[in-house]
Amino acid sequence: MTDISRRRTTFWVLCAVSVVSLAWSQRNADFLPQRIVLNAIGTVERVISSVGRGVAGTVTSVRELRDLRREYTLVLDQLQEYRSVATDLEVLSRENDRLREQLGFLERIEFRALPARVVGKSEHTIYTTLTINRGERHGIRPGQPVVAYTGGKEGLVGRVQRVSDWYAVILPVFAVNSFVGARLERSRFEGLIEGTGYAEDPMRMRYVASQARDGIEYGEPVVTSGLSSRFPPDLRVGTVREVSSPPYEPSLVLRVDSIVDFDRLEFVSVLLSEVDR
Amino acid sequence: MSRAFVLALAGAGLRLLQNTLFGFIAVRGVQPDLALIVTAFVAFRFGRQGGQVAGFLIGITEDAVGATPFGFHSLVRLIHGNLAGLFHGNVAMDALFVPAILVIVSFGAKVAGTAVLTVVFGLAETVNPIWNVATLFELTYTVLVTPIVFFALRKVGF
Repeated sequence: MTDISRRRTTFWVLCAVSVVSLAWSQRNADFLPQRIVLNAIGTVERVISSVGRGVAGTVTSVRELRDLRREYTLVLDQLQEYRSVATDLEVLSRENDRLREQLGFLERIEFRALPARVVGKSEHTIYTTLTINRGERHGIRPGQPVVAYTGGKEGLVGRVQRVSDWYAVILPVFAVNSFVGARLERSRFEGLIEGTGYAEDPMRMRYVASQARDGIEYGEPVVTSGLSSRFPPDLRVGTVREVSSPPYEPSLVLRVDSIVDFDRLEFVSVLLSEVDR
Repeated sequence: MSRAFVLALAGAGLRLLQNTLFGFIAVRGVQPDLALIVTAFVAFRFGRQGGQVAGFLIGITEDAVGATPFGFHSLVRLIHGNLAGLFHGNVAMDALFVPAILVIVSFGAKVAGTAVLTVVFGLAETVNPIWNVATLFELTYTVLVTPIVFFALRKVGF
C-alpha cells in the first residue's frame, strides 16, 4: 500500500469512526466507548491533579496553615450561631411537618449530598465542563444537581451531564444548554435562568414579570424555584447584576452573576434524591 | 511516524494538563488552544498522515470530558490535522511568520468544522455561539503563544 492510499484509508476510517460515534452518542446518552475513554481520561486527570496539588501544597503549606487558623476561628464563631439556629430550626421543622400533614401535601423529596473532588475543568470557547472523581458506582446519574460551598454559602454549580463507572462530567449552570427554574429570594418573582456559555457574564434570568422592576434590588440573591423536579427549592444560584427591559420582550431580563467562584472550585457535592438511591 | 505518534500523545496530554494544572493561563476565561498548535506542528513536520492521527487522538481526549457528543472534536481535529498537513514540504519554516499563518489557517478550519457539524448534527443547543469576540480573543491568544510552542518542540528534538 502506498503512502497516499494509506493516508486516504486512515482518513476515511477515522472519519467514519467519528461520524458513527457522533450519530450514535447523540441518540444514546450512555455510549460505551465514551464511558471507557472517560474512565481512562478521568484517571489520568486525577493523577495529574493529585501530583499538582501535592507540589503546590508543599510550597504553600505555611500559608495554608495561617489560612486554616483564621478559618478555624471563623468556623467556631459560626458554630455558635448555628447552635442557636438549630434549636429554632427544629421547632420550625416540627411546625412545618404538622402543617404539611394538615394540608395533605406529599412529603418533600429529601436529598443526600455526596462530596466529590473536581479533577478536571475543560474550559473551551465551545463548551465548559467539570470532571469529578465520582461516577455511577457511587450512585451518580445524569441530571442530578451539583452544589458547592464557597465563602460559607451553598450555591448551585450545575447538573451531571454524563457518567462513567468512576467519573462524571458536570455541565455548569452557565453552560449554553443549561436552564434552571428560579425565583428572586426577597421579592419572590419567578423566572427562568439560561446560561450564556461564558463564566465572565454567566447567566440571564428571563420571563420575570415586568411589575417586578421596582421591587428588585441589585445584588438580590436568586434561588432555585423547585418547580421542576430536577433541582430542590431555595438553592442559591447567583445575584442580580443588572435589570433590563428590552423592547422586544414583554418581561424583564436580569443579568445574574454566579454565586460559585468557578475559578477556585475544588470540591462539589452531588445531590442524590431518595428516588435515585 | 512513531515520533509523530509520540507527539500526538503529548498533544493529548497537554490538553489534559490544560484541564488540570494550567487553568491559570486563562485570560478572561479564554485559554490558548495548545492542542491545535501541537496538531498543526505535527502536520507540518510529519505530513497529513501524522496530522490527522494527532488530531483524532487529541479530539478523542476532548470528546471524553466535553459537553458535545462523542466524535465531535475527533472529527473536527481530524479534518484540521489533514488540512494543516498540506503545508508539509511546501513551505519553509521560520520562527514567527509561518507558524502564525499555519495556526490561523488551522483555527479557521476548526471554526468552520465546528460550525458545519453544529448545523448538520443540530448541536446549536449544546455548543456555545462561536462567531463572537471570545473566539477572536482565543485566536489572538493562540497565535501569540504559537512561536513559543513551536520553538519548544523543535528544541526537544522534533
